[in-house]
Amino acid sequence: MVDFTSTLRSAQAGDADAARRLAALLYDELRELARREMAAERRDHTLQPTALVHEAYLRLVDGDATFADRESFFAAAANAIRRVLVDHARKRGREKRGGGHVRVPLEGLDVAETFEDHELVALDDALGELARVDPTKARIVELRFFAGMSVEELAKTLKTSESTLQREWRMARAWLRERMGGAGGH
Amino acid sequence: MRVDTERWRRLEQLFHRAADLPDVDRAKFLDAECGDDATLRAEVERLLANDRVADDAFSRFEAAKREPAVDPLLGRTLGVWALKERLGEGGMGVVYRAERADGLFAQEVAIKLVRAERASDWSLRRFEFERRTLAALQHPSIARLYDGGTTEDGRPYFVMELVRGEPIGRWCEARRLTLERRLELFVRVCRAVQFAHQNLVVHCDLKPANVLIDAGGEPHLLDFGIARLVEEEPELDLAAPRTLTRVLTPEYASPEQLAGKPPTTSIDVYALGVMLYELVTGRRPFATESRSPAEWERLVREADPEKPSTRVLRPDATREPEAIAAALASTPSSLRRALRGDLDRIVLMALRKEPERRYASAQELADDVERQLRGEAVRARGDSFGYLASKFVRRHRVAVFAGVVVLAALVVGYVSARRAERRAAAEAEHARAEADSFQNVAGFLMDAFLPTQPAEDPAWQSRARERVLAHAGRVRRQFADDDHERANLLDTLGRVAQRLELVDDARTLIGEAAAIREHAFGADSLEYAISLRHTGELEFQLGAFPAAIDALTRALEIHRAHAEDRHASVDVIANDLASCLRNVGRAAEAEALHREALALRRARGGGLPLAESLNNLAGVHIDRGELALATEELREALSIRETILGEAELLTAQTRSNLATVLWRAGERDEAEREMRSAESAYRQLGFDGEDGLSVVLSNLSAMQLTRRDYAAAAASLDEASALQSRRFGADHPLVASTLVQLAVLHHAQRRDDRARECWTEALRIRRAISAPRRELAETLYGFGVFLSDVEECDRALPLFEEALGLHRGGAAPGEEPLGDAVACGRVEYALGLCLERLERLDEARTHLERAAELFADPAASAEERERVATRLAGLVR
Repeated sequence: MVDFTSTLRSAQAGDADAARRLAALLYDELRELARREMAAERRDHTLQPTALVHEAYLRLVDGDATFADRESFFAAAANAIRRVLVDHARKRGREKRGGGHVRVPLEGLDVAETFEDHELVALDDALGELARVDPTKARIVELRFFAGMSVEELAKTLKTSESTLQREWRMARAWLRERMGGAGGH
Repeated sequence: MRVDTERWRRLEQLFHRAADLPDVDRAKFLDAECGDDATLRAEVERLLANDRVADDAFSRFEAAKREPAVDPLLGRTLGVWALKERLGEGGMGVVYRAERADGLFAQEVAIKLVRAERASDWSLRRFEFERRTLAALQHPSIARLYDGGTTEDGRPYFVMELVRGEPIGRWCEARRLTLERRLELFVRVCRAVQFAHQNLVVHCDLKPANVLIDAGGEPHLLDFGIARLVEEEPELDLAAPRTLTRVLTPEYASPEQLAGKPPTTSIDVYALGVMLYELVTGRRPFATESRSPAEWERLVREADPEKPSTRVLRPDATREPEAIAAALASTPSSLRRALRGDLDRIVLMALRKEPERRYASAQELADDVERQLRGEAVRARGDSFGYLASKFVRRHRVAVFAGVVVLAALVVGYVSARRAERRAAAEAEHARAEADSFQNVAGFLMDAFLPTQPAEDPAWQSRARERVLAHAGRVRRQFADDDHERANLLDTLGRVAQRLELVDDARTLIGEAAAIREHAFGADSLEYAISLRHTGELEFQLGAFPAAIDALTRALEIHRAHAEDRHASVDVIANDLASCLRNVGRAAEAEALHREALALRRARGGGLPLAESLNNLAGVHIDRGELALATEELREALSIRETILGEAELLTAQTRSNLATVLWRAGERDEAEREMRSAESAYRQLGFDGEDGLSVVLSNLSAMQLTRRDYAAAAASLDEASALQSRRFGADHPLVASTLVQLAVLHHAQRRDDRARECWTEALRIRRAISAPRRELAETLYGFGVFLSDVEECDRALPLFEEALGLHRGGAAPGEEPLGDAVACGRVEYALGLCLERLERLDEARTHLERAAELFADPAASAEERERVATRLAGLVR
């Protein structure tokens, strides 16, 4: 059994290896959830998969957790979720050509519901570029899209004002839209 | 790719500045700024065009994005409720919108899932205890609490009326409500709070987020009584009033709440005062920014809030006075005029530091606000000279008597009378509560509650049984083709039956589920292991240790085989199994398993599971007489539990009582009795929940009192203990046997021989029936034998002594070793020798007395014992 919280603590204490383990942990967890959903497995009444992200989050936001905890936690979560979604989107893209289409319902995660598969793939690529140009903006987008953080939460977590965040978001959005082949191509 | 940071900054700056301009001015702006740089200008223009895209994935995302929502719980069910939407999140937990999952009829509710850490203080039983009061709280402005339960991982949740609305402050701001309209709304909120107070429910976490205004402008108060349920133990003992351990929302907490004083209605009056301050000035009395909890507490306890009428003239961090007044459709100066005088006094009176100087009730606060609205004279008055003088006195730590205390005492008396009534009904309440929770769990049951019966109704259990069996029948039919669900539901019903003490039905149902799981998932599956564990728990609870050991051993094998699976819990099963093994005297195996569990738990960061293992391992060491080791383990366990749980908690009390036992055995009699007494008082505070532990502590206290030859006290303790035990455990239980032994000794000491004989006979019967450890059985045989020789029935005592000797020497079964307690064995030999002497079988008597003399050579034997046996032998020779 892996202790999530202690891994998280090490990660935020600057242990890069722990951070990688953390991301892997989240990734596996989400992949397992998605796998169960796809296989339309009956939910085991007694052995429900632990809602790891949620639980870990709940453990964190209370008590003595600082906003630094929140940030590293959400950064890891956002990254893992992004990888899950984009992997599935790419895979479905290939499968679609073969005829089969399986939807991964990740209920409650807006980005999974509002972005089409090809848009997710394009977003992933564009975010990669943005991270090279302006890492802060890329991180904000990732946290907002994939960790589901609101602007208010982001402001607290990143210790900046909501208005600054709104501006960062607006610029990032316009730039990503352009990269993803949106309007403004003249 | 090399990034041109300079250029990127420039691009961003131009984008924002241009985006803020009206369309017509943009071209001119870009002409001026970009000059000849056509590439830059094209980039800015493309960004601007992309900024206004209205219908794409981004805009859909933003539209959907109302709440943070990475929440795997959505779509799951809790009882009959399917979680549909996440509504929000607060200090206590997350709130969902849920619908009935069974589709029986359309109903929407709000479900509040309490955050994991807060769940540790929680007991479902306690909730059931309070639920009736809360469910009875019916008022149009109070959101109803329908039900509650715990999730599979033990987190409590509450099912409440779903209210769609906005927090009161935001609602007023958004509509630019005038001062007058705000005050009218506030009065209605006060009336609802007053209604709850009249029904003995205190909110303890009143704040705008808990006061929602619906589209029709009606106020709805959420979470009444919930804060106390989660935060606080039941207040059954008036002598030891409990406190709120944590304050949920410091901004609305009164000075006495921050100081950890017991919750009262005046806490709510203060919170209403903060809300009123906020409604009329646009901000709270004290600014919270960057203050430590200690600073905040000091501020709230000592600083006087500024008068609302002057506060509205000062800007705050984000808004000018004009903006604040505009939100009340007013100007700073006219707002100031409206607030100055009566409203200032009303607000400040609600916010007074001393509860007794605030409005005595929400009602009085509401009445005063209404008087102000009608233009009548208000009751609130400023601080008089007398008050200021007394405040000075108080600050200098001189006790000042307040007449209001009398009123407070009356209220407390009323509350405690109600609680005493409820305590009397606790047992019936408990049975009902269990049946109710069964309905949550089984999910498909439609009746909202079992029919409410008077507490003394004897037919209740048989009706509960009928229901359990009827539901089992339905499960078998309805889920005939679904092994998985059938097993889950039958297992659940079995555990309900177990809690209703329908032992045979529990065995049948849990066994049936086990058979289904074994068949459907295989004998190696974790699913089957769950059934085995439940079987083990049932048998353990019934004191049928061999059966429990059998089931748990197999469960442990399965969990070990799945050790990599995160659902495997080797430590938990090892711990349970070890406890069973210890109970049948297989100490070495028990110790090994406890050590295994302990190592796993320590590696995982300790906490409460570690304390459990320490406590249990100490139990094994106590059995072995390794008292120093046990003391050390128990002190660590006690400190963990006291830190995490607090003092008056079941587990803390249990550890304390164990520590007291060890100290006693180690000869630390005073400390032992002190600790035992404080464990007793903790259990008493816990009321119904503490009864099991109380019965054990009382037996132990009685033993201590007996040693001090305080027979009256010992008898009183034991009487209470044995009444509790036979009620709670049934006849054949190790604890009952121990208590009977003590009672027997006590009766004998007081020459009530018939009663003593009955107790010995029954204790021996129980210890044989439950295959008690050899040592215990030998002790019982010896004690009974001594009693019989003392009442001149040596012929009856003989076989008992002989059997005891056999147990001490071992060898009755292959591989059975001697018990190795020379002194205890010597005492049996000595007693047997005396018996034989009286029966004039002198040669045999000599043999046994000589053996006793040899055994008493052991350093643990007392000189007195050695002397006695020597004298006896000398007499025999003559």
